[in-house]
Amino acid sequence: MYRTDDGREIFVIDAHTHLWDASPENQRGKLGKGWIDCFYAYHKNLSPADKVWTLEHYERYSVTDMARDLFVEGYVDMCILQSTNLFEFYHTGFNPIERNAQLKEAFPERVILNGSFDPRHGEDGPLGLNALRRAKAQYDIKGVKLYTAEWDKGSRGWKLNDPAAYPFFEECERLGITNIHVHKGPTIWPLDRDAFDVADVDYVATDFPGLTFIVEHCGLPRLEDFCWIATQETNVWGGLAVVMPFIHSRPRYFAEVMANLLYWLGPDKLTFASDYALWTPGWLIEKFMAFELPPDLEAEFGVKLTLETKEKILGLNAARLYGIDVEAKKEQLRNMPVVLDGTTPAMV
Amino acid sequence: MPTITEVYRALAEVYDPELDTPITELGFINEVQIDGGRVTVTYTVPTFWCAPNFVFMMSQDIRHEVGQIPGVNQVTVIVRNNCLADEINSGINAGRSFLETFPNDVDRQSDLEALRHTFIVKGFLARQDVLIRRMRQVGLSDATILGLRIGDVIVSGEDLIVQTTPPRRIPLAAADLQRYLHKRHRLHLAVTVDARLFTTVTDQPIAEVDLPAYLRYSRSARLNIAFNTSLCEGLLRTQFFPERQYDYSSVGDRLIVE
Repeated sequence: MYRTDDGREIFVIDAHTHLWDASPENQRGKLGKGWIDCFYAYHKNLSPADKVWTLEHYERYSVTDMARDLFVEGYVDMCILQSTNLFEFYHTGFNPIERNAQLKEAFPERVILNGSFDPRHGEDGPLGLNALRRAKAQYDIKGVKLYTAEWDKGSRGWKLNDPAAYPFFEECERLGITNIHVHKGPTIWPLDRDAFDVADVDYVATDFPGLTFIVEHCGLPRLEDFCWIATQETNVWGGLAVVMPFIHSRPRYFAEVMANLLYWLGPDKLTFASDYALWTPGWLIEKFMAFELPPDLEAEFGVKLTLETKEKILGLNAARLYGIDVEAKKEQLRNMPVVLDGTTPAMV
Repeated sequence: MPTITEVYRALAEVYDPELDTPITELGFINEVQIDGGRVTVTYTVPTFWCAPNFVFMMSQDIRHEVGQIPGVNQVTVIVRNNCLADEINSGINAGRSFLETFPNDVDRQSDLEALRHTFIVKGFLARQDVLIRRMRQVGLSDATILGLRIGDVIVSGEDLIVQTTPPRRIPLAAADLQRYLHKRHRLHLAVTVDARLFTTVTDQPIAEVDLPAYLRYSRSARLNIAFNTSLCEGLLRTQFFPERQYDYSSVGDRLIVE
């Protein structure tokens, strides 16, 4: 909960977080190392100096660390854990649902756990259709995180509109897994395409109107393409993971992106995220609450970043997606202090 | 024997296609070795996951540009810090095409030129957007701006002077004009004195009524390039130039106009 100076309580959902293990013991050669080194470069480059972790801590942190950074020091009421598997880069995966589930087990009222799937896994693979059904049965997931750049047995990626993906989306509709978080970062395959192409979102959003597609990172750096699609398709949202930290190092750029997003998508389809542990939420939320759009952008785009809009972005929008009754949740959590000691399950 | 100056001059013609910026300005070059007519260029890209297609293009362009220097008879290009660096290095230095290097990883029978063109267009829009906004800042009307011929704008030191009545001086905009004209030239658009200064990428005039929507799109293209440039520079510094880790300046900032 973030409290404004005049006592207003802002309910916060950090909509894109991870509990990962990228420790050297878990790395599978240069790909695993290359992955976390790249993440660490993002972390170091965009965090304020006093928020930078050591590489060792960044590679693997505990459930307690995460709970402290989010729920105690980070204003976060609830977080959504997004599964990223990367089995070809890490022996036990980067943050598969089983690892993420540890935070859910320790703080069930504060954590929304999402699964994932990979159409190349067919029926029975570790991320195949049956695994999706098991995840629904075991964790009652309401969303999945899809990472189309995952390497798999010589394949370097897949597209949302691949025919093999359609049975998975149909199964999601059937199971009530309605929130499809899509990572749109550098997808290196196919190699002759633009690595950040967001066009495949357009196809599936049209074909599956009952699902909501939350494009993480708002398609950056293809903002213009993303905004076009998200304006056309009412079920395409923007996730602010990776957009947020620019508020510190490049506030003008952050302002330009927010003005674009508010103009094209409006205030009701955007969700805040720290992308933990890429960055920690505390400083992001403090800076966001203090942030104002420059007058020239307000004038050119005809938009305002009001307190009401910030409140939607920080929590109310994600609550609507996941069916969270905010007032009831506030009341529940108020009577449930976060206890850090003695609740840490062993690492996977 | 080629000189180091000649090699760097050739490298300054190699652009990161996505960032619309020469790789020399981005700080990618690590080392140039000259041994008789043999030149070896080693460079580093900002992340392990930088799009290999663009990395391939840069290696290919380095080989081409350096190979043009009189006295150079062999060019070796080595890129570091990329997930497909080994494949790219061996493909480039054996003179293989992109398709030959990655026969199983391309979606269609294309070379990379269509992709390259997409980004040249974005660079064109971004550079044009900067110049139009600089003109608006000094109070020129949209109608005046869209009516300008190339010969109506004169470089005066670092400034531009627009030949209106009275003439308007635009401080520090000479480089912006040159960057824009360079891109027009690259796209084979007219650059003669009587040609329209501002046209679409297909050399059509822009109607005043269409300008706001046109500029909204150009602005996004401009912002994306600025964003990516600053991000890539930052990621490179963080990993390889720690003394500049908190230096947030960027060559992409020349695209930021308020």
